[in-house]
Amino acid sequence: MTTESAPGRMMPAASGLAAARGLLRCVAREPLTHFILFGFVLFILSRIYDEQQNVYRIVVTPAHVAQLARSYALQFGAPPDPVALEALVERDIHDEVLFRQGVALGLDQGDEIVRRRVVQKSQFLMQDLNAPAEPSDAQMLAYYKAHESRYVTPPRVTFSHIYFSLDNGGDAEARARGVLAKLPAGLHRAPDKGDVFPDLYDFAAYEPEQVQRLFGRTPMSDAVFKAPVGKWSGPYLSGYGWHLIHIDARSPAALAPFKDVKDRVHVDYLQDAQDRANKAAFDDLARRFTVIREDQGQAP
Amino acid sequence: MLVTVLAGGSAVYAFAQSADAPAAAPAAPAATAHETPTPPGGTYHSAIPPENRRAFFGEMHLHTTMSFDAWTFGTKVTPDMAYKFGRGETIMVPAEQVARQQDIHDKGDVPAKRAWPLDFMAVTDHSESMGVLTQLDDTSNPLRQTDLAQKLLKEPGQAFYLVAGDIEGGGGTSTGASNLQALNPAAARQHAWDLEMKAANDNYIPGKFTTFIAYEWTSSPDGKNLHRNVFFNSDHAPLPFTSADSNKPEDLWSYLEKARADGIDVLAIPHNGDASGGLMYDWNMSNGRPMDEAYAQRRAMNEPLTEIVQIKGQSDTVPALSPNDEFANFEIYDRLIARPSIKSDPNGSYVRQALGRGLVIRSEVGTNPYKYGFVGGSDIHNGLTTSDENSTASNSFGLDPNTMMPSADRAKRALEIIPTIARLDTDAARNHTPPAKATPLEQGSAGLTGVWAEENTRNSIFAALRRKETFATSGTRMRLRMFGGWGFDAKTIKNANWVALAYAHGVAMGSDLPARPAKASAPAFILEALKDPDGANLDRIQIIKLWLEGGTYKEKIFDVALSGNRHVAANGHAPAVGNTVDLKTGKYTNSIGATMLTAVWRDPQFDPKKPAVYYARVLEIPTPRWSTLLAIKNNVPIPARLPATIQERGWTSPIWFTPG
Repeated sequence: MTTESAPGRMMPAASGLAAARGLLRCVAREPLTHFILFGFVLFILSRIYDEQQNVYRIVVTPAHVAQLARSYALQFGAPPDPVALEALVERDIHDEVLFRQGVALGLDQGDEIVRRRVVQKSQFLMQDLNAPAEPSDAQMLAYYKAHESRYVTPPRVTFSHIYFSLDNGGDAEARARGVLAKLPAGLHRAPDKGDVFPDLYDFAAYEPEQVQRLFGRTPMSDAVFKAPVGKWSGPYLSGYGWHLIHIDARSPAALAPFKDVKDRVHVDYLQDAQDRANKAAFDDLARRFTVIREDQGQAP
Repeated sequence: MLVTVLAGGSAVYAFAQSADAPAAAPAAPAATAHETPTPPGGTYHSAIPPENRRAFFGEMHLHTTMSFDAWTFGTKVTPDMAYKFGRGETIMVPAEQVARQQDIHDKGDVPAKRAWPLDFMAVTDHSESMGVLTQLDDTSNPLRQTDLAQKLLKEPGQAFYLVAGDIEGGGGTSTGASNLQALNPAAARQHAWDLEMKAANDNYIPGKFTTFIAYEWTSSPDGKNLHRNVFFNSDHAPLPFTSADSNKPEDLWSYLEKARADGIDVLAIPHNGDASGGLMYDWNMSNGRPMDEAYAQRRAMNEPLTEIVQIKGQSDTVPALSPNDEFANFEIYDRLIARPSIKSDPNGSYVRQALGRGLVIRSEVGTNPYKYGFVGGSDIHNGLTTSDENSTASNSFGLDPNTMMPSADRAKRALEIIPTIARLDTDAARNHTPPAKATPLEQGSAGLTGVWAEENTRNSIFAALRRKETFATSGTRMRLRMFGGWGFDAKTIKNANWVALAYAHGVAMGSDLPARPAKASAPAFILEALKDPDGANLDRIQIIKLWLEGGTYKEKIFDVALSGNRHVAANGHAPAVGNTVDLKTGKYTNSIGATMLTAVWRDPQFDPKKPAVYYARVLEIPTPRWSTLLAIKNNVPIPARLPATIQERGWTSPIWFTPG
């Protein structure tokens, strides 16, 4: 058709197109058009969104069915057979229908159990989002130095004792004093100088708690952590009788070296960091809220 | 130090709060990689020689909030908190628990610390409905909305009967909770068991504090107590067997044998024979037929030990069975536990008789089913294992005497000055009649288990339990040893090295005497008893002998070591040790008795043709009973219905003689 067209015949068409263009340009500049177009796009988008999010549309995905089957297996020890699985899905749909209806009616509002559950989930979410980074050795060392009191080991004592039973007649305390006076210098152990003791004579690196378990909450248990080191002293009374003791070595309560407690420092560091991150995240969140304590007389 | 303790305490509680959160994934047991468990049937080898074995003290029987009945009593202490308390940490006991159990309402959570730390421990929550009711303590758990939950929260006591009905009926579903189906019991139990395993593993400190994964199987046909505690030597274990699965011990043994076949060593320990109405140490099997050898072998293999003492009485013997035993009348609890109106038949209910019956059954079927070593436990139901007299006020609860002592009306109810009704009475619940009168005075303080082991580790202590080198005490830390042999004499123990000689030439308690040498006249036993370092002196060591005589068994008691200058009179009895207890102050003095007693005793009436079994009982001098201390503290009369003073005691595992 166009090949047969005379140039003259082209004119009106050309001028018509230009007019149309002008009109279009005019319309395109018109705010009302913007409004209508924007509305249309919104309409389409919301249709698409509704298609996906329709509260009256329940999509059962294969992944969800697999999840139902897993829960069942966990509870009953075996996977569900097809009949049981179908029943599980039916029940899940039944519950979902009621759940959505309930939410639509606002039944979740003002329910303490729902509120607590949501609070809990928020907390978990916050923790997940704020997981602390792995600390470097330098960070852990700094932490250890700042919290030394947590890494103190109890005092320890290495000692030998001579036992004087209360059962063997005579004055056990006096017998002990007599033996003490005659103990030759340089002797580190001399169990034979006293009575037979039905447990050990020599104790290596014992903590106060271990000493107490055997000798009771008695002067003897205190004495091994106070008596002079490197010589015999006593007698001291235990739950069983009198004792002379020779302290070979004793270490006071001391800070454990960093390398020995690095694992504990690591755990403590991460726990502390998590606690701090949680608090910071909450404080951030809480700043967005205005709290009016009418109960304390604040005006709304 | 203080900082550490406080930090420990608060950490405990943080765990307690999160323990029941429904969203938490099932916790995997924490690895304790230090140690490979000795396999079933394997032998534990230690680099430490037997003469260097030492006595460790432990608790083998304790309930926490995970036990259905403990929950109904208001217990909130978790297994993790219970272990921390047992090993000497300060824990915070939740306010709701102290309010309901001790009437302490105004202090919030209350700190509690054990008077002295244990060496080892096992939490033994009931497997039936384990952890099902604790779910309801989580206010965000939707199960709380169920009608059943609302009813239970309003009347927790009812929960006991719902589960107890299952236990006494002994059948139903594999969940052990047919009446609690609405509470999702299968998932709850799995979660609870994961939590129990994790608590045991997390609190195991090899060398310092040993824990065992354990539980209680609560079979009670017609209310007759056949309970067994089950202990694993492992850091993981199969889901517990319940009395709803079966109330027959034979079926429990099948479960244990399966666990062993799967590589985990495990044993069961029966308890409260005293409340078994004659079923615990019966002549017959569960089907009522006379015992056969297969049954006897399975019982001996699966149950090397039995619990001889706990808060609900001792199961050694009673005067009715041992009329010539002047010390038999001690901490007797002779009624069915949840049926308090019904007396338990003593025949077949006590350990001493079981040892005698075992000799008879062996002579008939070829194997002795009742070859029991002894342990002691608490059976406390509030998660706080205590064993001192001043740390108990009945009701199955342990207490920190500094922070938790009940006073006023609560104390008067414990002392029966204000009468109360029984907390458990299934007959009354079933028949809708008034419950029986409660008898809180009849509960004693808890018992303890002593083991002689090379090291404080799972492998070493489990091996000691397996070979029965154990003793039980009524709660004090006396250390007891017995060895048997043919060549021992008075000179043996003069040797400073005598323990090594005793192991080399004889056997320790829990074993069979070596074969009798041709020239040997009679077996000799070495005994040694050392007092509790913080407790009372010792009165005496006795040997209790049972032997086979004309198709039945006989019993005789010998005083083999006496404190002071006392001697056995012609009538066979020794004079009493005396009594220093001041009933106005509750104090006693160690001015009588001995700190240590030893003896080498040769059986003067030995007959090499007659099978025999020997065990030792060691008595302390008299000390005030808990009820006396509680009455003095509250300025009320000391109850007259029970003795004001008691002679605490210990029992060694037996040594057996079998003619060659």
